[in-house]
Amino acid sequence: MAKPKPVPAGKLDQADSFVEHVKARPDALVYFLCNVGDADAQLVLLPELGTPAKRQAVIVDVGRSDKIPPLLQSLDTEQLLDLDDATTDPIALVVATHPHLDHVRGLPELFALHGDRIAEYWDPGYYHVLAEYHQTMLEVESRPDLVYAQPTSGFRRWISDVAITVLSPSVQLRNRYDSYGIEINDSSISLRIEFPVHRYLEDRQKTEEGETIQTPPTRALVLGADAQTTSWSYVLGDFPFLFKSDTPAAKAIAAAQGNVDLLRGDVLKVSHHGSKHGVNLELVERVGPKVTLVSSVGEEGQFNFPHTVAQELIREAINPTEGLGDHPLDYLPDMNLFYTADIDTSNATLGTIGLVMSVDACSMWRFGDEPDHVVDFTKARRWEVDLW
Amino acid sequence: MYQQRAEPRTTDLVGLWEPEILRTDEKVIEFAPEPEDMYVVLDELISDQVRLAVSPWPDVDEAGRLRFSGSGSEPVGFGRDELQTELDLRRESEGQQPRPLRIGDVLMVRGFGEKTEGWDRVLDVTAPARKAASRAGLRAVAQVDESAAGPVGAEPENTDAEASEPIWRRAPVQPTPTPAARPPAEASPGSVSNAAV
Repeated sequence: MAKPKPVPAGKLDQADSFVEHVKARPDALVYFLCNVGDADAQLVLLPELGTPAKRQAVIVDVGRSDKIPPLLQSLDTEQLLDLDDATTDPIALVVATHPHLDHVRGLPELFALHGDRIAEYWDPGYYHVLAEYHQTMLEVESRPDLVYAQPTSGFRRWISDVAITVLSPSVQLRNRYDSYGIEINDSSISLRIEFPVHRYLEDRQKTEEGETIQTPPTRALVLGADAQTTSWSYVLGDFPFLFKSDTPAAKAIAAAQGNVDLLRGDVLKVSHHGSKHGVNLELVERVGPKVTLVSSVGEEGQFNFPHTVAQELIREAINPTEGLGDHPLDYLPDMNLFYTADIDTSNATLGTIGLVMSVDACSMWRFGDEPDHVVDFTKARRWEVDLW
Repeated sequence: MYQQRAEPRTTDLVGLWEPEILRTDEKVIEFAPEPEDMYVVLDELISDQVRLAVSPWPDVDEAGRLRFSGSGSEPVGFGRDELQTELDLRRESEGQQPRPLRIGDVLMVRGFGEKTEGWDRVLDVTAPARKAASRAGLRAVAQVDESAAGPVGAEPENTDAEASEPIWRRAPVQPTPTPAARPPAEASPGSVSNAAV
């Protein structure tokens, strides 16, 4: 593996307040990729919506038991999320991408603490023998009002101002993975989260008046879970980009859809902690991320994540060098490739990554937490330039 | 919000889980669980490394669900070759089939430690553990017809040998067709069931 290069300490500035920054941007989606080592724990704070305006949270994996609940509490304390809201479930959705321990270890605790605040729960329907799987399914059984689903590719759900599209597992995998016939990582639920989406309706109304549909700009995150090559091969087939085809018919279909790549993402959370089987070149090229994030330890992890070959292909997808001969491996930080395990040149841990994203701007924040520390907003430092 | 699924049925704990563990010759291995036994899952397998997820041996409730107490699993790393060699020996000594490591393997380990040298007894309980996992998933999403067992806590009407078995081991009661009824259609295997489990 290639240990991520230390980030120059001067790139981060503690002058701004993270909380005030978020409060000033009600249309922004806030994404937390928590520092939990070789594991995943993510929280998406949806844009404000409704009257009175309020935010809801989507949680994707809880790979530790002591990270997401304190983060929820901090959001509540800072009035960025109302955990006691009786009219709207503050946690709109919890996704267990797949039942590996490093993704579900904290799930039973989350349900125990906040189960009554969760509206919906997704998992891939992969029966795993893990204690946490049993505990979680008991929680599901004990909450008959909880919406429970096992989504497959193409399923789309609108929550607040956001469209969540399930990229994987393909239904072709779902119908084969009899629990043990398909590698458990390939059962992973990968998501594309796009926002804002409400403006489509405004434009459709204009269309009825004879005007042309103007698709407004959106931003998207692709959250790769732990999907591996097999799963991604189905994704590339299930979500084709016909524009790249040379046939007139395919180009015509693509043009009718606006020549939009269904996998395009401004932010890519790399699959499987940057393992060599978690990403492939075509996938990263299709996503075309402006920001690429990896959740892993930086060294000394049991599985040596992130793998050098994965780092190299991400770099090649973002900044192609074919035909240029030898090239330096200096792709940090100008490539906007960041790791939860990042340290700076003064050896300080950068920790959890926070992105405050709107259509026009994206600021990145680092919270300085170790995997076993809580996310402390007062320690947030802002990246010197916006990522778009 | 409206109700999505049936109300859960309250069930009491029966005691430590006692899975039926078979030898290769299909004879049952004698096994009486002890509270210190560990439930060890092969959770991840990458290249030459294995991640085990270790938790205390579970209890079982009246409905056959495994109940894990405490704080869940602890991850423990092992070398693949070391674990494979050890399990080949252990499986053979218990009359179980040696086979390559797979994600989803489950072991009962008595005397678990971070080195296999100290392990006292090891049993491969993968088969019953997988059945228990599929049962956990299926029970959570769909109402279980437990009419054969009657209400929880009630005395069973039948007193034959089968009725004395825990409800999860009993054969399902076959419905008696009435003379006027049409022959029942062949039952579907059910869409929520994974056929190979």
